[in-house]
Amino acid sequence: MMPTDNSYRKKAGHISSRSLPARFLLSARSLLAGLSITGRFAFKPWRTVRYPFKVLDNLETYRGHIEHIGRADDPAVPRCISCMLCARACPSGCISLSPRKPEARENGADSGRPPRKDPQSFLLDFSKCSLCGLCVEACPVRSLRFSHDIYIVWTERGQFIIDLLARLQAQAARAQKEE
Amino acid sequence: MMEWLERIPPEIIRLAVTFVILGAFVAVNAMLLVYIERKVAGFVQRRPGPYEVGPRGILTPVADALKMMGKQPLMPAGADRPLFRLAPVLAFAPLLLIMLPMEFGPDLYGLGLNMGLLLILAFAGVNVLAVCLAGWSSNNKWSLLGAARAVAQSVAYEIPVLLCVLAVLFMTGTLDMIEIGAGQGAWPWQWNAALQPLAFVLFFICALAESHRAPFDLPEAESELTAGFHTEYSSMSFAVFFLAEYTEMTILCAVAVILFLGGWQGPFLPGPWWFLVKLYALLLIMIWVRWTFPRVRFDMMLNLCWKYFIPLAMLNLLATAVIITLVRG
Repeated sequence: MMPTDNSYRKKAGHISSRSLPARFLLSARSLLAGLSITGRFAFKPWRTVRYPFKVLDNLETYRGHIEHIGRADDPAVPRCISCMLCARACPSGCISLSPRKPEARENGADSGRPPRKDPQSFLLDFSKCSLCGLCVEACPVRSLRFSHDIYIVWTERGQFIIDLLARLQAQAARAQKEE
Repeated sequence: MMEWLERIPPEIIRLAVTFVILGAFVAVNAMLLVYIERKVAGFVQRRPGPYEVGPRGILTPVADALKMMGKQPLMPAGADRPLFRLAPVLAFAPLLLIMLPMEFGPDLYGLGLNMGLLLILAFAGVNVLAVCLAGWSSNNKWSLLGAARAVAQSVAYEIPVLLCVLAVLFMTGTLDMIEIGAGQGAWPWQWNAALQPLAFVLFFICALAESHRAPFDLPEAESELTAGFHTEYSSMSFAVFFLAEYTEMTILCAVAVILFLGGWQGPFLPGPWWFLVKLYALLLIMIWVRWTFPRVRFDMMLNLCWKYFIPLAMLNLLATAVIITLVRG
């Protein structure tokens, strides 16, 4: 299909406003410029590594599925305040979280601490996620971030639904063990 | 004991030996070109390309060929069985014939023909038929669309190719590939390309289109047509199409070398080596072009041919005719 809007051609300096020989020369020059770029690139050093034998060390820039960040005082509990902004921001509806019931929010009668706001459950359906990061941006308490695990392999559809709270608890337990 | 051998006409023996050598050359050449193609693609994209099989991946095409032979030959339901099987044979068989009248070195040719160029041009058209049959017999819309594109493209681009060849023929006055090569000198300024630069450039660009190479690889545009006319082919029948494609590239470049670049002649090195150097230089440019330019749109491609290349080639032919008439008085 030819574009019906040809107004761009009338713009001054557009190639179709030049004479035919000038257009030929311009085109030839741009083709040669392309060839010279690929020609020069062919002799530059490679930008890839021989993977199984050598691994890159910048894996923390990898954006995997989202995960929670633990609180400073208790790494097994997410900073999340169950505000639901992430679930609303998500264009694919990947995130389903449920806040704690009022009675479950009590921190113990005489602890003097404010009621718990962290969610009862936080499930991510990664099979729908497009890794757009809107949930990470929407979070008011910076409880979400991208994980860096590039070696994830799942073999069943059910495994794509990730319990992020359980994942954070496992991470915290592992960190404690290492200490 | 060898009397029966003496009764066979020597021409037949010469032809048989030529076909064996050409067959071996075609197979080795295709594997080499696949390797070069993938290496160039890698280097242009700043990665090593095939690397693991053999030193620097040199055996990768061998592994590819073996894998291809081990695959199951499939035929889609509703396919036209005889045509489906015939198409790859038809694509490949004429290519060996085409290489007969070419002179690869001093006295290194299969068949001395005073109509050699005509034979090449005539049998080059059979490939279009093979592609058309492959697309038609596959009973697949992608194949059919690819074949339709291939036919439109080949028919259009054959015209400027013929006009460029004709311009050279006006100068040489012979259709004999050996004489055309011998009519030029060893140094670049004695080549036909020096006298016919426009014809040479046009011929080379049209050779890209004739062999369905990027940026004119619309018959097999992956993004629209999966694989074009050979979508349904697997196993050896696909391998034969693949072989035919690379052989066609090689033939077009070989014709360009003989017509425009002085054939096997050159200083210092013996003849066949010069031919190979020139041939692979042209092929390398073809591969380089493929990994540089994006695919053009189909209407653009046909416009380029009908609106620019054919008029240009005709003007070139006219100028050649006028100059030759003036010079020869």
